Amino acid sequence: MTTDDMKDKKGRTDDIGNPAALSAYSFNAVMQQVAQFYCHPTRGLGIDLYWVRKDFTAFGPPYTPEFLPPVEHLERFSGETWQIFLDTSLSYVTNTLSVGQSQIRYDNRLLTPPFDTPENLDLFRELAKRPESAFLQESRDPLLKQFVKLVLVDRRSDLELSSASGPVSAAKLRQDNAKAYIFSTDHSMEGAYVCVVSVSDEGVALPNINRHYTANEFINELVWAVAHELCHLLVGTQHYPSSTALMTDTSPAPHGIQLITAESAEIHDVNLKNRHSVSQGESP
Amino acid sequence: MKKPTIMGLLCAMPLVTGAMQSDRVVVSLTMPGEEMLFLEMTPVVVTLSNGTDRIIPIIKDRDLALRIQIKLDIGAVEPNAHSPIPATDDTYKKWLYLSKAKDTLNPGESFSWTFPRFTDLTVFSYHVKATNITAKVLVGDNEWGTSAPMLFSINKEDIEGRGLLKESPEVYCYDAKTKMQTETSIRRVTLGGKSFLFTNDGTRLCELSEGETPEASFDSEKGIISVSFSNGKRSVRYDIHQKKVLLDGYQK
Repeated sequence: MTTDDMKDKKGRTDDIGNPAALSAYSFNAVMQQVAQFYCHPTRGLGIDLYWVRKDFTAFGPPYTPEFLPPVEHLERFSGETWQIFLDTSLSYVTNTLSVGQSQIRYDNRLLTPPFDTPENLDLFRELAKRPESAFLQESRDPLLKQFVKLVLVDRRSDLELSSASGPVSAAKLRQDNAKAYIFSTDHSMEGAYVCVVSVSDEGVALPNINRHYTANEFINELVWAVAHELCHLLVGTQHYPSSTALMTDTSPAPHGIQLITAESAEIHDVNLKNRHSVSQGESP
Repeated sequence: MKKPTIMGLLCAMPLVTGAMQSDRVVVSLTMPGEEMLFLEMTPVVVTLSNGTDRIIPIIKDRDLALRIQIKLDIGAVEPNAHSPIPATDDTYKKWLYLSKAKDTLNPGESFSWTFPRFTDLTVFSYHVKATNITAKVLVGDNEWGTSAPMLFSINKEDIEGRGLLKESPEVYCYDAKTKMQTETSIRRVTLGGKSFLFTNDGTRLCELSEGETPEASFDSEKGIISVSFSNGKRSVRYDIHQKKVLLDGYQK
């Protein structure tokens, strides 16, 4: 990777997150807007949305071993964070988000020389067989069984080794800033996550948009992302062809939720009784 | 000594599927087997053959090709148990991007992409409970070449316990010259009811036929593991530096 590759489109090499937009984030404000959309008489789904806030803690075994170059917390990484996107010249461009934080998904350093010893490959196998959505299952509250699970994290990433300046650990951000997990059998691992900070970082990655989101755009996009992933837990995995449907598979950025109107087919497909992420048979 | 003559190469180890597409674009997918180890080192290979009379743009960089030109369709029991990987994601697999590729495939030419230790694929496939796989290669505006689907899964026993490689019987390699036992060994692994020989780093050497007993030697100077079989004239040679099976065939 060359130094030029490490620059973003404006030639910056560090601190290219979007703190201005991020400062507009408020959990309650976002959830209120999601709830307002869900019950909106003409644009929404006709659903009253209630939520309980619970601080998220990653439980269970750590995602990364202790003996590799240090990670501040074993489930979280604080340091050089990469955002990789495809440039119009058909090459990868890496934005370096210095001092970024991220929840760790896989520790790919164990697969990379000089750490790819047979013992470390075994360790990777042990760590990587943990389901991606285990953190949803592990953070469930037995008293809130009838609630679907949504976790708002900052970023999710895989740990990598950067050889540009010696074996430095870095977090490579995942593509999916929001995802709903749906299983045919194990409902305890169902739910959704939305990476709040990653969504605010998105602007530079969008084709033909050479800037970050404004604060309003970020909140509108975040509200859409939360509403969209929650709706997957109600209608399942399908998307709808209209670019203005709630369950469109095309991001409505930079307009976000402002562009969205739930379609009659989506409303028809909502199944509150058999929603994902709760045990079947429990009444809503 | 009479130089052995190779009569034929076994194609039993890698599973290959090809499909003739409209306009005579052929995509073939070479998988190590119907079942893979979680961290198997044996490469997955996708080959595009241009049997048309036009030039097809290609992206030779394998990571970039997975973003823009190659799609692996994984049939799965739990397709939403894991985030998509670049190989399964459609975001950038569009003619808009592919048409800017610097390299091209002329009529009559072929190109192969080789993916060794494809952890993204095996980890994803384990979590979604993969059942089959098909390779698609973008060759035009919404125009794809497609391989025939093939059975594909990640071995469950390899995930549970200590891992199949470690738990499988070891076949010690003897020094090719001194006939003394060396520290190098290979493993006899059972996958999907079939027996295979693997190196200790997870590269599949060959499938064993019923009744075949392997004997292995190691040439430390050249870095070659040679496997012979007590009941036949089959010979397998593996280069540990290239991590490549050089030969799997029969001698006259």
